[in-house]
Amino acid sequence: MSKNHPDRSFSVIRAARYGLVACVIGALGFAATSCKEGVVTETFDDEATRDFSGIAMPGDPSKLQPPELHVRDTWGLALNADSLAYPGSPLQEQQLFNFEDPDSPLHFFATPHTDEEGVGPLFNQRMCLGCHNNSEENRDNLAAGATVSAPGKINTVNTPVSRGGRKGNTDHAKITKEFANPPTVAFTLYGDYSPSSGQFIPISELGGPLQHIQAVGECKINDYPPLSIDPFLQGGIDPVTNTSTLGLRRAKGERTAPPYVARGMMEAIHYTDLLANEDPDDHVKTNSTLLPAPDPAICPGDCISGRHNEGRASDSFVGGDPVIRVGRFGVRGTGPTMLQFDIGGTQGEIGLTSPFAPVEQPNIDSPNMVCDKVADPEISADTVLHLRDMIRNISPPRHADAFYETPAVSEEAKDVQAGAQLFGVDLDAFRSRMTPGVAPVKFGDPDADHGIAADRQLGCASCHIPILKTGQSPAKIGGEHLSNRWAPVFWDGLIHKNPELPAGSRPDLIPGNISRDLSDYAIPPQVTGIASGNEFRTPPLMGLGRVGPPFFHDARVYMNVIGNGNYLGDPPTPPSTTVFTSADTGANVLMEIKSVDLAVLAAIELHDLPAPPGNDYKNCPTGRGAGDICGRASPWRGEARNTMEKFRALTRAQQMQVVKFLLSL
Amino acid sequence: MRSHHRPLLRRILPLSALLLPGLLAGARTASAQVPPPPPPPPEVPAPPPVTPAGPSEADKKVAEMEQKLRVLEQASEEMRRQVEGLRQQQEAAAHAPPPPVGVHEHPIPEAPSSYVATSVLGVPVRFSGSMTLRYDYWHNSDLTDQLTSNYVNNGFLQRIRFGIDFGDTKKAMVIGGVRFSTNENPNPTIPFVFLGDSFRSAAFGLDQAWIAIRPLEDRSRISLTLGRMPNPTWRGTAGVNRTEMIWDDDVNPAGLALKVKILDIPEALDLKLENLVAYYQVQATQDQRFVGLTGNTSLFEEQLKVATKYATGALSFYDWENLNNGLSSPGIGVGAVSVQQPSDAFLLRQGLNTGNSRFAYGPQNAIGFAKDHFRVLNPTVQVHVPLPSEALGHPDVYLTGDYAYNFSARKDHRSGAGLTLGTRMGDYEPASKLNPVNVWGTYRYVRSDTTVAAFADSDLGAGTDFHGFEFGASYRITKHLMPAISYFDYHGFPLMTNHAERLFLDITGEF
Repeated sequence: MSKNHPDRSFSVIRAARYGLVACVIGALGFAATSCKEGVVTETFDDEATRDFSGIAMPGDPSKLQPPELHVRDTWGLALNADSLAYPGSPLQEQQLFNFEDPDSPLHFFATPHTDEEGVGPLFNQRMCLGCHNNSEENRDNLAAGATVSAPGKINTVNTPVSRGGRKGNTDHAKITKEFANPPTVAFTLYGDYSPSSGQFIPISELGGPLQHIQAVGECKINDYPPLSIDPFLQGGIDPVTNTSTLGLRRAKGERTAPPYVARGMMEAIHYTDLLANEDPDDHVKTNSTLLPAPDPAICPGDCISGRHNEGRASDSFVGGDPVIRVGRFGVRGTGPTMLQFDIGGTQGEIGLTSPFAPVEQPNIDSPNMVCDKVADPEISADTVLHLRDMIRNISPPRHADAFYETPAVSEEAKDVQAGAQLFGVDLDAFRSRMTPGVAPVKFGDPDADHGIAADRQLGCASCHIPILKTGQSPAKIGGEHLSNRWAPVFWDGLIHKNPELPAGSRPDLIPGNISRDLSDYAIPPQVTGIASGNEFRTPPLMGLGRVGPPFFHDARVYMNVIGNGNYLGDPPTPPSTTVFTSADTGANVLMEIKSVDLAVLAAIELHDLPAPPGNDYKNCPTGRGAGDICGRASPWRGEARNTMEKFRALTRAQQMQVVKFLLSL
Repeated sequence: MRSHHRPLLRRILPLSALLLPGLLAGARTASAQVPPPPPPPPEVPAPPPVTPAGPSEADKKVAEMEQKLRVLEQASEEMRRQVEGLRQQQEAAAHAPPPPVGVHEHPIPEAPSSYVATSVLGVPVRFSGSMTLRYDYWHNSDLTDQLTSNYVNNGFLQRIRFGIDFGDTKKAMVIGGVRFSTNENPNPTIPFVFLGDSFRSAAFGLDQAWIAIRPLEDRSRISLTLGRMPNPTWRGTAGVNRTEMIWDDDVNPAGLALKVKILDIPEALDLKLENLVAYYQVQATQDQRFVGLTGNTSLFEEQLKVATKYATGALSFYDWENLNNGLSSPGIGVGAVSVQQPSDAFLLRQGLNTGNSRFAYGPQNAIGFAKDHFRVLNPTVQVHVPLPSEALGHPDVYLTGDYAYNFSARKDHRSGAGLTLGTRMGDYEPASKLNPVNVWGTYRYVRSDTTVAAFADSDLGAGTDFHGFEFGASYRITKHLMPAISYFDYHGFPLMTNHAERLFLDITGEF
């Protein structure tokens, strides 16, 4: 029997209670039933709300202004805001570079992480800076006699604007857990590739596609798997087709970290400004007074085509949006977001899982072992995001004074500016867009806005476009430095066909220990997009004269005058070597790369297969058919074939002017 | 004699008018309003004077009357027996929901004290049911931007439960119960289901099915409970709030539990000493089911409780074994590749509460616990202070402290603590100006491996690896209708970085 009080049954209090409950229920019902969310056309790629996409929005041309270039002499000298941040950046940005603060992203970037923090179980480096180590290699080489011409001034302290170093070529058979891979910090991608279908099998069963050369605890490292245990290559490789019975062959390629220079500006360029420079069918014929002209039978236009790559962030991290977007980051320009590379580095290279990549890399060689004793995820989402904030806000250096000397009086300025013109730079247009308070010369002219001269001469600027304008940066920190700027990127964000050697050919027939084959069919889809194995994205050239060698995506052009970096028991590693051609020094002259200047020259030389004997195509052997790697029409030459013809027609002094111009960047 | 029968008749007739319809109907809600008694029957007229002559007409009438009285006496006896049966049922129903062991010492004061009660073959049977409608507003940090930055749970859920208990909870040697509940699958801590499934039916599963054997005359002394039972672990006495750091309120463990009251000294501040030892089979996997770790995931529990009038403390020890049951991470041999797919440990799979440390087992990175066992020590103390106010229904203020330490976990991941401050006010006594009302606030800091997250609080922290607080209040408008509000704010899994806020507005109706 209820014990409710009869005298309260009909009281005002009781009525109020029931009324209150009725109101609450009614309000809740109304609230819940009226909660209409979203719109019919709602899409999930709303850039304004998808911070992880980091997609630039269109800019306002009326607000375009010069970039805030860092004082050149102090740029990249140390691990602090004074060396890396944009000039005059507010405290919030400076705090990103406060190495003394253990919570700062720069501290995270440049501090070796421990097993107790979660490194591993497999890893390649204990810190981000481990892959950005060329500055101290250059310091040692310069101290040992390597030289650099003015205006080059190479940094000697490793910072995020350093790139991956190299002291010799990798021999995967000699990598050990104890000594790792002494010649380089480059990492290796591998898998099986089908030339007929383009399919790439990452052979994760064997630890692919990313090799790890260090491991924590008792875990074994990920040895490069021999072909004999590869389930897709059983039965051996046919010497004619160079494939297994399944039509597959092993593909392997190395990658090194790029210098993180002005990535925030590259991110802030609206994708339509990248697409505007596409020329996939080589229809564009640019003007050049240098000879030889392109052969119309070989190239419809100027031989330089270029197309965009595509990718979706969801292939690379949890939370990445699944929209296929125009890519721009990564060696093949697949990545539409910066964040995916932060995550690739933290999880893939260091073995630090995060909410974006909560699972460790495959640990195929250590079954049933928990070598990494730290629970996943090991670092927070904020750690990764702040890393991106920092990298976004690393400034580009101002160009060398010789570049701005007007009129050019000093020999250095004359060389630099002559080199710039050979490169295809419109000096006036470029300088006016880099200098605060100066009206942009020929504003609105597409070439001038790109800093490209009407006479492109060598035509380097067709791919290494001097200026792209930024749109509205997605950065929540530092966006004011990045939006609506003339960005001196020397980059187009597009992929181009590189020189290649056909499978089964003998690269050793080309003198030098630098491979002239720039193709690489280790192409996991998430980092390859629509690119072919011989297509790579144009690298930006910002800070080249401060960052220095090695060059190329795998750091194959390196100086090593000190001769270290050899495997245990091997003789000292020599400098890299390749063949050079100029009008006055002859064709395909083998040289050791013992200076920064030669390293830059070699990087240019590698833009195509070597010149024909005597720098005359008539000397090429005939009857090679599809295997011809010498002739002017060889299908294995790259898009820069005519540019390199022009370059090789220059004298060495002229070539060095181009080198000096590059060292002024 | 006759005068003796008249009052008896007067007692019987109203009772039969009251009770017989109920008996014929089979059941009656004991808490239902009792109809006013029918007017008393008219007085039986006095018999005429008896003359000594032979069997006269009057004598015959007297004999008939006496015969009728005998029949009435028999009917009266039967009625008395039935009334006694009903009285026992009502008495049984007058107790709080009867968890099988040790519950009667600490009934939740505002729980409905009435059930639908009847008897089957003389065994008291009580039916109970509840329906809670919840408005749930929830959002979190959306750490990985899963398009949920503006996404919230913003709608109604409901929980429906229906239970049957049998046996006299005071006297019977064997009592038992069965309860059905919505949901609790795949997550045993979540009985709520979303409204809005196009009016399709909701899954309704067996939530409890248990019997308790109490062999001693004092039934509360020893109780052995078998089956899927209401959690016998002491987690608090005062108010309605129970600490959920180890056990979510909705978890009903399955196994057997032996509870023994060792001491009971009312004169010494109502001192009681009790011990609970239990074995639960958490997850059973047949060995042939798949490649990997199989067998039984088990929990051994030991709890020693000391209760007094003002404070109660318990020391619990939990031994979880074979936690990695279900984990499979196939490897490779030389020149061979396994086609077996990796699988995670059951207790770390999707759908369960999260927070426990997750480790990648090579080579294919199946997820498992670092160690195959957790051994957790869990002291809990509650101090409650009764305040002398009849108008406020003899309120209690209580403070509950809970701490757990996992000897099997890594440093910095092994301990958790919680503190709850609450009050209970109001009752149904005439002097009280309030019906029962409860208000509480809880703060917890629970590291990832303090306990098994799958069975910990699903609301505050949604498992382990969090710190945050909860505020709640409930009020019984009637014994059968209770609104409640709860608000949660915590930083949870992973790495205590996911900021979640949650608001519940509940209306519960029950019988």
